[in-house]
Amino acid sequence: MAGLLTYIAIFAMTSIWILGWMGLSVVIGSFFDLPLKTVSLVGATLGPLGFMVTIMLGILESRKEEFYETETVKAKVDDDPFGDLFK
Amino acid sequence: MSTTAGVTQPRLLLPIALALAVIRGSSMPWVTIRTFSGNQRNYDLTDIKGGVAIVVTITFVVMIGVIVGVFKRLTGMTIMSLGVAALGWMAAISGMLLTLLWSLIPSVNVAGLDLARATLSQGSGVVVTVVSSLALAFMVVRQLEPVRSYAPSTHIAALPIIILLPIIAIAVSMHSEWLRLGSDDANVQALIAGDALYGSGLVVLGLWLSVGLWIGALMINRPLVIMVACGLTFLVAVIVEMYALLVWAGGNALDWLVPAKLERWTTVSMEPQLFIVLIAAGFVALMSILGFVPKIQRFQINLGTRVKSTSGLWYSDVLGGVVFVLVVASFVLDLV
Repeated sequence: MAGLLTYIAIFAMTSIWILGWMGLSVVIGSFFDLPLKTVSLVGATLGPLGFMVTIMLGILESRKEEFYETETVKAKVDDDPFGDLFK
Repeated sequence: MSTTAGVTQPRLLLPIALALAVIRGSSMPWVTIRTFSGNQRNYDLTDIKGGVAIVVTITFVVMIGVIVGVFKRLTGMTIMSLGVAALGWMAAISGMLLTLLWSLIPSVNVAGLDLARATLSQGSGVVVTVVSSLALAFMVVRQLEPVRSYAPSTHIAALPIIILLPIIAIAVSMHSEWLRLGSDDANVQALIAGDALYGSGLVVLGLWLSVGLWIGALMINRPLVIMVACGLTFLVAVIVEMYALLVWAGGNALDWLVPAKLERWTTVSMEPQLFIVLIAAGFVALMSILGFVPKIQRFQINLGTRVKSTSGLWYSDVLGGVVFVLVVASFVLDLV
């Protein structure tokens, strides 16, 4: 009985640890728009290290995006299509 | 990596060897208690109730991973990695909780032993289990986007390798004896390990985080990762160096570094591990500072994926073979 309880307790503790770090990594990963599959596995297998890796990946990816940032240009819209005719 | 119809797939031997190393680590010492009578007791996962069942469960998960890995390589490796990660974290959490607690509150009873009359430290099993499970986890993670775009496939960065080797040596030496104290009057002998000193539990945590970060820097070879690893490693290396210097200097420092005082120690002898730590920590601290220089960050060893471009021998398989032989040899030696 003691063995069974220890077995359950140890697996429960490890599962909470793994799922906890996975959850934290997913939260940080979604903040940086990282793929969910990658972030979940990084957090689950690497624990606290995965959390740090996710932050670093997020920073690296957001730096990459800076090169592709688009600029919004205000286009001139003529509200009166026949306005020119009456000038 | 093997190429099948333009899709690169990781080789299977190295992940299997690493998973076996993790399982082997579970039957190596996780916790070592050194009593002041000169005795040493080792405890591993199989010593606790239900421990064997845990190892059997993890082995079963790994076997499922191997079978799945034959058909779906990455899925199989992920199953293996999740299984051994559970074992790796069990080792890390149990060892660190115990040493952290004891390094701050030494008067705790563990396994019927009054730890005020003994020292407690992590065993070699924790090193094997944690390092192997982290390596396997990184092997899986590096196959996924966007990590894949940062992971080099044909070269290895030199700086992480140069720092990883001495830092693992420090981590191992932290768990072994630094000092041997003897008292003729009380007829006792104390073996003081590096992680048995006050507050060293936190230092050991930092050391392990550094090891993990450098394994990460091998996989994600970018200046940001290297600089974070360098910063933490420098901090940890300086603290370890201070510990080693204080112990080496001996004398009055022992009064507050050694938690339990029995009688007056009449003989003090220093173990070779203390000198390994002194030299390695100094080297690591120096290399961590140099690691901030971009030119040094860019040093790399070009390998390719195969030992010879025309041969069918893969570097991954060679490394896997070496790990496999080491695991089998240690298992056989243990049986003999």
